[in-house]
Amino acid sequence: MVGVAIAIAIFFTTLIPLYVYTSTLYNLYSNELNSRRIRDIDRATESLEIAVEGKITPIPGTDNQIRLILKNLSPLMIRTQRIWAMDVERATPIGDDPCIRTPIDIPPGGNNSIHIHQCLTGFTGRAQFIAVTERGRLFASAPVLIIGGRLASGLYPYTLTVSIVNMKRGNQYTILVSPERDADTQPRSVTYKATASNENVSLSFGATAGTFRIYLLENGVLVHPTRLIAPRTNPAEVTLPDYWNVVFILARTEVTPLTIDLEIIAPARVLEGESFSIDITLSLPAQAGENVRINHDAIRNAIGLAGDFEAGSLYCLPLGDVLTPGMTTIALRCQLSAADLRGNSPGLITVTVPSLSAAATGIDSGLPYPSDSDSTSITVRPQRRG
Amino acid sequence: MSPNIHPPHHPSTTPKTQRHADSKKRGDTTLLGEILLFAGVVTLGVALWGLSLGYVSTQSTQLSKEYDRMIAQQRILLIIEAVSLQSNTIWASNPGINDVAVISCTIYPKSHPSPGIRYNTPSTIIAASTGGFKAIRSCEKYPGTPPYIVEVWYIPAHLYDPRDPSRNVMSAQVARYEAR
Repeated sequence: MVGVAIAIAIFFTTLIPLYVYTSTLYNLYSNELNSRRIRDIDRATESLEIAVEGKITPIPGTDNQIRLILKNLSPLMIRTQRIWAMDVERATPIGDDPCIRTPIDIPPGGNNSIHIHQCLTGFTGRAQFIAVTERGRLFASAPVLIIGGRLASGLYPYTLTVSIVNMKRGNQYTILVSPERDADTQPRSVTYKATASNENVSLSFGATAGTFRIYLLENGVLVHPTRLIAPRTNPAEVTLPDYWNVVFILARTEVTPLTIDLEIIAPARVLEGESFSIDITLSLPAQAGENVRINHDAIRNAIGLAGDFEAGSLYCLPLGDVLTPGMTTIALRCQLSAADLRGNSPGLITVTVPSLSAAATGIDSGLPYPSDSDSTSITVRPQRRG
Repeated sequence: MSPNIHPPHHPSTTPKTQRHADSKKRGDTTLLGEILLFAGVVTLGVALWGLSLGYVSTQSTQLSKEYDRMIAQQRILLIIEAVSLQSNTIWASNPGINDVAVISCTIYPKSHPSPGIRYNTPSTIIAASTGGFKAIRSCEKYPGTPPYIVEVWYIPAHLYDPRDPSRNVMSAQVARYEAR
């Protein structure tokens, strides 16, 4: 009886409380899971549309208003805790601080309009606005262009076009546009690197009416007017909307074909009857003024063979196609078979490529590029016969 | 035993009385045995009870800790609101229910694999649901080209143990942000 009593006591004082405690913990955990699921569903249900709206004022110093329109598209009330204004180019918040710190409540289906120009004073660049909600969602606007703290979209009714003719390959050309008085333009400068000799480029700038001075710089240095065929001055001056185009014509750079270095790469020794490969490589001097296209047929037809090779065994595959200045490439990879010597004395194969008048053709100029000659000898060794 | 020796005779004791005396002796022995048995059962029972209580107590403590960890993981949430790739600073807030401790902050190119938990932001606590945010400066940045992934590992603040990083990892969660 005592044992039974003790067993019952143990049952009621240990196992039952443990079971009850475990169940309570599990219930707590289940409740927490449900709460989390509800919070996650609420977060996922949030939907906020952010648009940037502004009064476009082209004249600096005049009334300047940029507003954010927050539109709640979800069935829940949304509270935005903060709004960040991000500098998109620098990937950093403007002012390293939130633009708006005051919580804003937006009812389901409702709109809210907030002035934000105070966050963008003097800012130039692309800005994006990110709203952080109380439930922990981020909603972003599309990036907008801001110039001097003003919304720039649709600001410029005119287009100023600047062309540069006959650029030198590899040089960097910069156009600087300096507006006079109330005139304005975007962007203010553009840099372009010429990739071919005598290359031309035209650049467009959004502009208001007014007078502009256009500077042309080559590798960061103002181009002297004596180097220009037109216009006679650098900077050039234009006044929109009557004149909207500036053409800088540089003295044309003559392209002179340079001799391409041709080299035959082949093994020094081969066994009789063995098939081996021969590479024909071409190197274009770094001083060349343009890229060239390799004439594979001309090189293939010029290959001369003499000595102990198997007639008709030469087969060439074209590899490289275009050479840029300073570049070396394998133009042809040929397969050749050594002849069967039928004796003990070693043989010799001589491979020759004479100078070519048109080993390649200039891509821009169309001029033929010559190559030098090269030859190599290959020793053919007899195989040991059992 | 010698045949001349007899047991002492007691004239006053009759055979009935003798039987009664014998029976009383047996009764004493049985009672003693029962007492001993009772004491043994009680002792064993109490010992077993004590052991059971100890076991239940230990189990309850372990269960409490485990459920506390599991519940805390459901209650934490960290979001990265903004990032500066110029100063490698991030601004994060905690819309969850429990405070969190940030244990790692890295910025790495999206084309690279995640460096994992780096323990490079010791004991940065971000309080829950205050509506505020906190800047975490000097996040570890890996070289490479944009876009970058900002990765912040965090755990419930009350589970954070600076002496036991491996245990911290067991409760850690991650927040990510793509910065261009």
